[in-house]
Amino acid sequence: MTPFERQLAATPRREPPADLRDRVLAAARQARREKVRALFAWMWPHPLAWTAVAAGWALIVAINLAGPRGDALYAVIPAEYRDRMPSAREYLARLETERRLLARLEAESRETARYFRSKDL
Amino acid sequence: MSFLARLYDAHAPALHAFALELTRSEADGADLLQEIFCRVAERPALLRGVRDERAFLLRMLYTRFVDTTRRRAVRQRFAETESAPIFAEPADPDAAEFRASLASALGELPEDQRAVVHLKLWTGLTFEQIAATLDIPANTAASRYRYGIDKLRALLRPLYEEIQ
Repeated sequence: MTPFERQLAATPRREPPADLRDRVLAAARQARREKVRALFAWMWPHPLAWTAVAAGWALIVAINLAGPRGDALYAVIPAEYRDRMPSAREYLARLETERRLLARLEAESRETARYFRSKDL
Repeated sequence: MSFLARLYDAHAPALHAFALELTRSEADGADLLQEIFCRVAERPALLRGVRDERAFLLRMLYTRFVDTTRRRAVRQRFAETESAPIFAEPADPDAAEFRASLASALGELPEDQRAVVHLKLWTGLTFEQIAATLDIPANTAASRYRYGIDKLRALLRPLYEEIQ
């Protein structure tokens, strides 16, 4: 900065008037209140409907919280079915077998299609 | 102390000075400041994650000023309004004369140069911060500042040399 610029920068600006603080803050608080009021005004035409929706959600949350969670979910499965349920490893083995079967079927169907095309059938 | 009161106490002097510089009107400057605080009050999330609150608020103020002055009638009103004092009143008559001349010289600068000179000299922003505030490249901010200072120097030279 040159001396000239320093002198300009050292020239003090006027402070905001003292009463401006109250005016600005009051207007800002009023603006916030009006925004909240506008939200209620938007909801107000059907307060009963909004209350019903809120009550419905509250009920869903309550039922969800009251029900079993995690491992406790297995407890609600009847014992006869629970005993017949395969283990995770068995599930994976079955899936792998089915995946191989599917791959073989696809290979065979491609082979068959190629054969018919070559014979021009 | 509420969030808004803290914000006002921390940044209102800088925002008010910038608003006065732009509008040159006591009433319009105060309105501009009020609009910014109302906007923040309505949407406090605007400032969430903002690192430099002052630069952000100055940018909001400038954008609002530009939006307002785009309407020709208001621009006309700003131009016709009697210029409000922008510097503190000194006791010394020489200082008073210099401040009056400086205010008048600032008024002769184009609006874009005046904004850059103000933000650089009286708000202490860097050219990068000014560029972000006014949404212009940093090089443009620097060149506008240089042109503005040169013009002020030319306008104030006789008085400045007398004071020195």
